[in-house]
Amino acid sequence: MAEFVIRVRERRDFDPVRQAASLRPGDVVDIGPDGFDWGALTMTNSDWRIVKCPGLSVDALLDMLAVATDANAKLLLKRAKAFDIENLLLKTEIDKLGQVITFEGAQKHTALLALKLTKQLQITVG
Amino acid sequence: MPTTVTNSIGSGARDYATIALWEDATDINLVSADEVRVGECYNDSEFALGAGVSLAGATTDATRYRHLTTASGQSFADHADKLTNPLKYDQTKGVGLASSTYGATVLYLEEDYSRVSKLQLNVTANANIGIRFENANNSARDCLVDGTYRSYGFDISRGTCVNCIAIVRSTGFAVYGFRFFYYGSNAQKVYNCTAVRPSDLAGTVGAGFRGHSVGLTPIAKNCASFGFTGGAGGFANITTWGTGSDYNATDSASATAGANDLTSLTYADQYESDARFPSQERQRYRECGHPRSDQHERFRHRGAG
Repeated sequence: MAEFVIRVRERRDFDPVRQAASLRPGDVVDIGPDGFDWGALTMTNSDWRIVKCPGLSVDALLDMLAVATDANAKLLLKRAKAFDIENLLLKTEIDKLGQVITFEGAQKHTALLALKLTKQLQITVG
Repeated sequence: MPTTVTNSIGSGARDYATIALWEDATDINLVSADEVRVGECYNDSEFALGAGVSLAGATTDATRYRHLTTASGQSFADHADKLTNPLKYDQTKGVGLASSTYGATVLYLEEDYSRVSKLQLNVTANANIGIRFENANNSARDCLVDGTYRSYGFDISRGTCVNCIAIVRSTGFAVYGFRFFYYGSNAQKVYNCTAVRPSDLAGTVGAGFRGHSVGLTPIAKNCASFGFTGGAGGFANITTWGTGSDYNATDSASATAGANDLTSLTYADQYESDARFPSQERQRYRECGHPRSDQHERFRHRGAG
């Protein structure tokens, strides 16, 4: 019984060096249960969308909050995975500009979960 | 003069429902915006942080930074019964953050100048870390980390802890209340902090304050560490403690080699009422010359330095 907030736009003045670990478009900001009250400012943040998936378990999304760290637990990425928001399934809904997107039914849930991508880490040595 | 922008965080119809939302929304250039961003948590319900939250990415300086704290009256540190409440994780007494996710760092202060205060954390998973600091000006004040299983309290690469307490409840793993690593030259500072392992736990493991890398010179002043005599000790694995380390107390045989350190104290004598930590946290530090009989929770203790 899940819904989640996803970043759909690059943040203003994004700095790829300073914000290398920061959330990027496609990253899940947070996950909540069905009907979760995300807060007033979440409802008006145009960088985000709230994706409602009634009937989908929270557990099916928890991996989207995992961070990427090095061997010493030093932060590399705030999210190790992202959704492919260029895929039409998501892109079409995002482009409608409504703050809330709803995916109902097991078939759509399966299609959505298939859009999970594991990020490639770029590690500079030296 | 920077503008302070305060947002409420909590599940009771606040600005943001979760800390992660506030963090992402405030991951901006605070210097060009000339802002301090304060996230004030409300104790509407426990904050289940799972994989944790990292304060990383915002552009900050000494006067423009992010501060995660609690709203007035929402912390265990300003609870109406703060003088008598046991000092252990209890979300009914104030904002509580919890994580039971393997390997998660609950709060990670990566960007410089970011700070946290008045929070209590419950970390219960294997390799959990309560609060980790990465930069010289990161700080935690009036925070409590209560860790079970194989969980660590405070991991300090660089930064400062003031008036913080780490409760270590591991019975089988060598974990630490405060762990120092990476940087030498007095890079880690702990003032008025306590690490404690309850006396009624089985096993003899871990350390209160411990170095995790060679060549570190952390500063520990006015700190206490009890319950680690059978493990690595109250103050362990540091060859030379940083300049100013002193006035520390422990039941172990050695502390920081400060002239006013007290060692080999009797654990059971350091706490009022019962000998087990969860029920008697009013620590008596008369021996340390403290002006009052208790240290933490009063949070009126003398300031850092």
